Amino acid sequence: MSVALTIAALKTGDYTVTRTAASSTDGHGRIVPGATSTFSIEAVIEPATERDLRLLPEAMHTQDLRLVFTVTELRGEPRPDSIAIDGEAWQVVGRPQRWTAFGATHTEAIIARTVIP
Amino acid sequence: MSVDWATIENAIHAWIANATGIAAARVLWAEQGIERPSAGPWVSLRFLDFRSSGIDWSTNRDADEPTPGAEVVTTLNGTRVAHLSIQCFAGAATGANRAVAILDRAMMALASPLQKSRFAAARIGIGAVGSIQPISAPINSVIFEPRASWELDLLLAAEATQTGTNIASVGVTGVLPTGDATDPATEVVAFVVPPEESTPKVAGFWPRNAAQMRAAAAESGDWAFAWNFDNARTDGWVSTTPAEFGGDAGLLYDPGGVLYRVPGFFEGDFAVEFTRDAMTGFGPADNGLFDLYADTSIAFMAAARFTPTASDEGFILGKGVQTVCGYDLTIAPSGAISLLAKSEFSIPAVIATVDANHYDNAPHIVLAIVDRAAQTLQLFTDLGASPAMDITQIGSMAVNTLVWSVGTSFDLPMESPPMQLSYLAVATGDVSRLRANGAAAVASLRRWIGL
Repeated sequence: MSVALTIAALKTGDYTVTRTAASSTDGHGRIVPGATSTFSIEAVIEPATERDLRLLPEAMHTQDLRLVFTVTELRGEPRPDSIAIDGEAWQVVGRPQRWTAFGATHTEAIIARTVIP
Repeated sequence: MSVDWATIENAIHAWIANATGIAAARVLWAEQGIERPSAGPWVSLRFLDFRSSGIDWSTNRDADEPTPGAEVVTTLNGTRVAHLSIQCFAGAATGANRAVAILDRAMMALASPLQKSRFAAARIGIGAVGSIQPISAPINSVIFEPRASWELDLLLAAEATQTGTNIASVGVTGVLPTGDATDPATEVVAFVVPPEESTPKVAGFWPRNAAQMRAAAAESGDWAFAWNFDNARTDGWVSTTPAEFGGDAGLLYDPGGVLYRVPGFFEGDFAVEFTRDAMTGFGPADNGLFDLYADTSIAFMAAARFTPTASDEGFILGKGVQTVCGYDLTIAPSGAISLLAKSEFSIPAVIATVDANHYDNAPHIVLAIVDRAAQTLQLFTDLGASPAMDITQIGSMAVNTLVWSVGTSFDLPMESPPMQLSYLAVATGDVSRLRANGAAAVASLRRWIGL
């Protein structure tokens, strides 16, 4: 069974992803953010493991991290995708890993909660 | 607003883009979560430090279009030092486009007259200029990227404005008897009690501003009656009550005699001394003596009603004499009121005259002002004002005090009508302010008397 089928079978839900297009400048060195668009993904979202935490960039500190498995490609820096979980925004950290195996391609990404209550 | 950041950022950005030849879209302000531009050199700009170079200051001016509560515009000014970091990424390792060379072009442009004018327009000055340092480093541990960093101080102008008011207080003092709100007789003129501005002649003795006069006199009224020598009335138009007598001038009453006194400049002397009869108004049978300083500014007021008679030949309303110099306040047979200032030898002398007939049986206010700072002598009455006469030629009246006489006193053959006399100010700033607002001051005095 491919990982894609496993994700479909074990998915924790459908999630809305917000993606930001490339930015431009105002001609004076100030960034004008790009437009945003949204789409839905099936994903397995689970707590990050200790091994995942070791993959974080130097000095990265956050209070809530999770791991995402989805067949949809997710984007990280410099314009990371944002995933809504229970109404809260979680942002992709670093660069998601894209794996092709067993007849399918899936994405593994670490996401961090952007607002800590 | 303090520093005009948008204008400054635009000017700096234009400078770097024009001088280095790097496209404007590849010169970026840092700290925006920016993504690296595509391959090729690009520049990052960032302010590392921001501080003041000294103590800020403020200036005041009248508002161009004043509104109630916003009659004054206060401008706050200061200078700021902003430490700018300029970093060039992905330049060439060698040659004209190496990272250091790119930043050097920006450094060279600082000497350009065109660039100087652009910075001047944005109110930017150049402070300490640091060195350009290569800081080349690998990207992702595998790609070597030539880089250079340059830091320099920029001098910026900080400015902010705010509005304020110069109205100290507003109060309702009466009800207009008619619908004519512009009637000068009922107009309320606001004055601000000035701060202490001059050095007292003798601390504790000689008041130097209205507040001290009022304190000395235990006067509960307005400054305009700062130090009344006489609050009497004989003809019904100047109010008087026993309470006002007692609280009027802080006078020392000699119960065994007939004199009212206030301590004066010299030991055992009195700034004010007059007979009890004079309490009912200075007249031919009364007298009063007051110390005046001839060499400093002074403003005083006389209030009287001049009744025309067939025998009127004019009065000396008061006379300040020290040897031969001093001041004479007179009313002429024509009704014109004059203040004469005489030098130490009587010549030269200067006279200020309000050339209007005051012999009309109406109460009049006479405001006499000797402004030694402006070197002017001027009279204001409710019938007009004299020109401001130049008393420079009088010179310094090298005396300590004059004795101002009213009524029959000394050995001077003079007469005075029933009148009231008050010191208004002896501080330089107070006198100057009264002179500048003479007509309004007379109107205010009339208002306070109840005219």
